[in-house]
Amino acid sequence: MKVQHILKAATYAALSVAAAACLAPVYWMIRTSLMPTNGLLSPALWPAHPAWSNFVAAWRAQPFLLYLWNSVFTNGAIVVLQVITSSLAAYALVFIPLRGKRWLFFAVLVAMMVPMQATFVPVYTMLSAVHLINTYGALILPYAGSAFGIFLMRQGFLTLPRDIVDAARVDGASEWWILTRIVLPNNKPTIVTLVLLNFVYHYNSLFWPLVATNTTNMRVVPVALSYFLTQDAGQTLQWNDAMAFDIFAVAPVVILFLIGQRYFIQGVAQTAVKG
Amino acid sequence: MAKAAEAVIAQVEAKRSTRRRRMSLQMTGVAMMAPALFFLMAFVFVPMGCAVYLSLYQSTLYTPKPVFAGLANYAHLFSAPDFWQAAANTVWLAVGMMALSLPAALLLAVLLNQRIRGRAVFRAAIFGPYVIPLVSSGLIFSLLFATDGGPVNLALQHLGLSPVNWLGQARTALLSVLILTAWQFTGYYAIIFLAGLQSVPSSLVEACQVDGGGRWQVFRHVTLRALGPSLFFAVVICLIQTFQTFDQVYVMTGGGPDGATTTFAYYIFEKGFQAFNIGESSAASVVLILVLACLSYLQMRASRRWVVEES
Amino acid sequence: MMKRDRLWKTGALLALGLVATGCGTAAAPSGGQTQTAGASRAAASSQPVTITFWYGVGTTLSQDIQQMVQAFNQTHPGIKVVATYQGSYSGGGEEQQKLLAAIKAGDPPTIAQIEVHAMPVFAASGQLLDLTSLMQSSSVDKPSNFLPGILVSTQYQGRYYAVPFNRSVPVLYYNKTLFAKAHIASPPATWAQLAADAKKLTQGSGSNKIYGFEPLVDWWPWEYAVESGGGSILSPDLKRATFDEPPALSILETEQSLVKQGYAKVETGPNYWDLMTQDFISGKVAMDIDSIGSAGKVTKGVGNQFQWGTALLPRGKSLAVPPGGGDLAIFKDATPAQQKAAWTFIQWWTAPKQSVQWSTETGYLPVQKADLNDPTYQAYLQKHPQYRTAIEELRYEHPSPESPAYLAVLQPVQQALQGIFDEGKPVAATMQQAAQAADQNLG
Repeated sequence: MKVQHILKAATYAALSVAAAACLAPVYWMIRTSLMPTNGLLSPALWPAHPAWSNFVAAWRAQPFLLYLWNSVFTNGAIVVLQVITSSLAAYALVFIPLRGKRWLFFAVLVAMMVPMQATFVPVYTMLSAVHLINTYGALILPYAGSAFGIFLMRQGFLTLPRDIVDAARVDGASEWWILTRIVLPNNKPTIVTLVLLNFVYHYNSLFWPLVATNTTNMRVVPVALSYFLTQDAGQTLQWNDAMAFDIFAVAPVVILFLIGQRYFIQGVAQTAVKG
Repeated sequence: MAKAAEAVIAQVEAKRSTRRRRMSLQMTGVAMMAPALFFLMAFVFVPMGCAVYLSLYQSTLYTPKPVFAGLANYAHLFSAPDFWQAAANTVWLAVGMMALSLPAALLLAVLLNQRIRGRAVFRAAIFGPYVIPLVSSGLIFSLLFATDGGPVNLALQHLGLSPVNWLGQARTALLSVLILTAWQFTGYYAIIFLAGLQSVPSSLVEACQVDGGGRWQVFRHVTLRALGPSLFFAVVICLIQTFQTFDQVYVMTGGGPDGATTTFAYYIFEKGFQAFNIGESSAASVVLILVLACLSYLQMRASRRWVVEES
Repeated sequence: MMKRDRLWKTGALLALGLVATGCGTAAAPSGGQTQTAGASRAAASSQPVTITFWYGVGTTLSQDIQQMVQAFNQTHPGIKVVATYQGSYSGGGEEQQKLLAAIKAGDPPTIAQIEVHAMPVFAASGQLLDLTSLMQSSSVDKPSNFLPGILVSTQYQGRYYAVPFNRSVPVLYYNKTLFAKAHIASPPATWAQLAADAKKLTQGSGSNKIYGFEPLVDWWPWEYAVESGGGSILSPDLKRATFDEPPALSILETEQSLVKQGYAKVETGPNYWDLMTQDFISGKVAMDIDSIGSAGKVTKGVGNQFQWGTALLPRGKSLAVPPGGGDLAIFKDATPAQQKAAWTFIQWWTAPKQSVQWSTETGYLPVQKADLNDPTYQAYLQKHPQYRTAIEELRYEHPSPESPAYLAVLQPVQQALQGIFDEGKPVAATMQQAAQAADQNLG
């Protein structure tokens, strides 16, 4: 009995420490965003007089709503396309006997791992040949097919009893009907997971939007954040303004996470349990 | 996985017994793969092929006509100390993540798998950093490690120690990047392990207990064995993530000081974008792609061995 | 079965074809595709000619540019300049990266701000418009109208490819109040004097310590150190790095020994430059070598806390001042109408009225001889005598090596400098290594 109590207390203590370590940087971000400029070097744990004006300054420095709209629109389009292309492909991989399926799957795995730094020059060249650089198209199309999406959808589809699909086939149902009426409705959590995980993933990615856009009206949030550093805050080490802007940038994903927490965690678990 | 499935479907089809139907199923399958394959082809595989092609040419911004160079770019690469430094930095990060982040994640997963109150809150707090953009966390950690006024140094000074120039010294800069990366991803690995733990069949645990197994023995014989696939998966993902390390370096250190934080992906970027050497940058890309392809292959092989085939 | 095999083969062939075409354009951005791009651009904008202008200076400088561009657009109804901040224009900054990508894809802007050391690489790419004849026949931008020395970075193999835009030079900043306290009458003119002064100026200890000097750990002042010490960066044929020879190392060695003896402070890490400027402002160092472009920040930061001034960089064997900042270039890809509009814009910008406005707003150097006689600028100099030093330094302007591979030389140099100052590595051995790496990139 006693040992169990101690163990339980130790569990709580360890988890609390871990949670605190995870939240501390976020806390310091908020704390710094409220520091007045002359207090930036102070060791205070919380500003005596929170300078809300930093948020006003950061908001005024950049048209944040425009960037947010660009991010939401392009990443929304990306995930919609990904759900379509990935569920079709995953269906074929799971329910249709295809030759060389194993190699296809291997190709999908490789595609998932190659970072954009290794491939962006040709991608840029192709898109510019069709005049898509600096358009929403340039931000969306390269991600319309998602290896991770296929991988995740496949994991979800595998859990569906195959008999159901076979029975429907025997009844003369078309593959399209089976996909839209049986497989997808039974995989709603997987779809939500894909939407959330990849929306956040693409919302967060800096490199390609940085390269592929070059006007303010096409700028997305992470690019604006990196520019804010070099442009407004970086040159004078205005950490308070930088952190205020950072909070604007982080808020949408954190809110999404808090709402759809279950799906994020399920999604990560799902990719891992079955290989 | 395909064999069993094919057999089942073959039976169904045998009943219908039309060759035609099978052909059309094939065509449907190909058609369904087509959209995803088209985009992956156009934006991943073709560019990968391009990287191979470009790596065989001497191509810079100031040589408008690329000159065929055979394997010279690769020879150049393998004889450049900074390439090996980037590779070593990447491996160091990977080892660091495996020594620091994965054990911590495993411990957290075991703790989160207990019946405790507030589990969801702990889980959310620990997984939370994963959703924050790396640009943002890079920025936050630049502040945390700032020489003047950064909380880490403030704490050190409070303890009477002298402040450290975390991002400005070769010895500590890569460590700072590692700490950020561990902060970002440990929760993610914890969730992976947690899923593995929850897949441990309780019947097995009971059987082991019936056989007189203690807590430790249950953990060793049942839990760890069941964790095999998740462990392997986490190690592979961890390797991939470290090989892709870019954003945090871009924001925090720009690869410096003295190349101390230049990672593989950053090296490619630096060669191509800052030294304008497309040929060598492509050669480095090809090496990276090969390394990652080997890892993928391992993962596929292993998952075939460890994971129960879907029936 | 046959059919399926054929299907895969077709797919593979198709992919190979795509690879070939994709890489083809990637490797050789040729005229065909870009001309159509230009033509469609021109056709789309029927009335005023639209030209794009990429620049890489942020914060208030960006606002200044936008305001001036607006003024230009209002007074030139036939032309519409769209100016966009693209991230930093400095070595390896985002703007340079984007220009590279755009050039590879044959889709560059009409005008771009180009960092002076990147001039050879962009000129050698064959993508920049040769401005020589335009300049010679221009009433505003005739080469003889410019301040002597300021055109060094705009030439490549004897032709002009750019016009000076936001130019600066490194100068010696010194804290007059601390100098007076240490009974030093004037700023040092040589490195021997600087070393002696730094010793006298250093005082205190711990966090209150005031250092005599702070070197900037950057390749820009390093260029000055090499050339002024009597060395050279590259061999005359530009094929070999020579910056590891003893004369090229003399000033670096003096600087390092000042650091090792505790008379000089060094800032490292990603914000090293800002931190150094900040050190001078907060009175932690008595001298530093900083861009004249930082004068505005220093003026604002110091306020009335102490007296300060700027002086010519101390001499080694000689004085060779590297060019700094950026120039404006026009891309060949633009249609003739766009090129004409771009040239109109550049001439407008560099005409004394605008260039004086730009200089007085930003602290960048004036570019034309006529600027110096402008009453507005003279009044400005009266008020800000620090800039006199920078204008005087232009006489010692020394071109940086004209090698298109120069940026790939500076990369190992920057690493070596960090090794020398951050980690105290030996100067000669470290620079030898850097020279070997540079040789590889040159070869």
